[in-house]
Amino acid sequence: MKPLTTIAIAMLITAIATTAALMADTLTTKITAKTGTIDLNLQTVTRTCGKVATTVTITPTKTGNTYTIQINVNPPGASSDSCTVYLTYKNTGTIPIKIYTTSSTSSGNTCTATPTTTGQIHPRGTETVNVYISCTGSCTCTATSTAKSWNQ
Amino acid sequence: MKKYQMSVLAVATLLVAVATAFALWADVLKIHLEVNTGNVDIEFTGDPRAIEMHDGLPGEYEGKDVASCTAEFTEVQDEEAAAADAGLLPPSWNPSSANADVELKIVITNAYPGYQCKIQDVNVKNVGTIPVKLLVKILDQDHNVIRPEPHFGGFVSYIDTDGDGCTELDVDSSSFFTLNGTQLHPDESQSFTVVLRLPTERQQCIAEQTTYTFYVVIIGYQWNEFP
Repeated sequence: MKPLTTIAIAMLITAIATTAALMADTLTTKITAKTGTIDLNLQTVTRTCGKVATTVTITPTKTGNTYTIQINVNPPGASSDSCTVYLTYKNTGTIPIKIYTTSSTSSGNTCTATPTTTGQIHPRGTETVNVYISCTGSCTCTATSTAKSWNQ
Repeated sequence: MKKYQMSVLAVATLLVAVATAFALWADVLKIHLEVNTGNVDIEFTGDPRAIEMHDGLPGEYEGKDVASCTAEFTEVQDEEAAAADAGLLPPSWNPSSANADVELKIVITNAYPGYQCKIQDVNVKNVGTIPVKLLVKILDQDHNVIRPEPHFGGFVSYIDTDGDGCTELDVDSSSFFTLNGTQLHPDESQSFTVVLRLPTERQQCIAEQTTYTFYVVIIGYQWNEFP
């Protein structure tokens, strides 16, 4: 009887061990997505006016991917004048962009940005936005240019 | 003297008879028991291929070459450790059933909202000797389980890889999840695709110049112990 008892115990232990030890194998997929950048830089600002004596003060401010450019036009002797300001932007990001520009000024004056939406600008490429201003006396035009991904 | 000899002979005969009977009672039958266990083993097979997509068509938007997507089999880390950290392997798990498998590594660079990449020609194969059932889970880079946020009838599964409460990636429902609960017999395999997207509808969650990392673990359980 003793050998049979031993065999029975051994089988019981084997059964318990088989039940307790769960077998599993694992596979892993590692996924890494690194995003690019959308960025623009105001490279140059030039201007032309009808009158040589007209003073133009341009103050650009950058917040994120947006430039806000305040343009103050002051014709001599509170007369009327028209100026065009040329804003040349460079795509300093890593993906193509389009630049969307809006403009505003006080009533009675004119402030127009062209184009309001640029074509695609590839990384390191440049594009110029013209802002036309027509004032009687001193006036301020605010142009806002924002870079967005070309596919949006 | 003759009577003494007869007595000795009688006793000896009795002893022989008893000994013979005893020998019969003590006969032993021996059973030899041998148990050979099988093994649970799954692995990736195939030749992973990454295809850039937009709006269901191959290639990037307007045919540009802006971002890139690659997929390869490589050794990245101890996959069992990651699964154990996430609590996906119970205490009764037998570590001897693990082995060092190559992993599927997918890398997207210079990505932008709207970018989509599809990985295909990948299979999971049962190379062990016991049927397995597959369990698929998504883990963040700290090996915490991420629960996908299903949308649009389950066709889109947004995931928040950085735990900021904002979902920045979409793992298409055809990806991985089709493997969940699949039973593979020895030598059987199951193909799957991985479709990843940076959703434009969640672009407020996608930061520039940022790396988002997550893991998808596929655990092959012995089929009769599938949780």
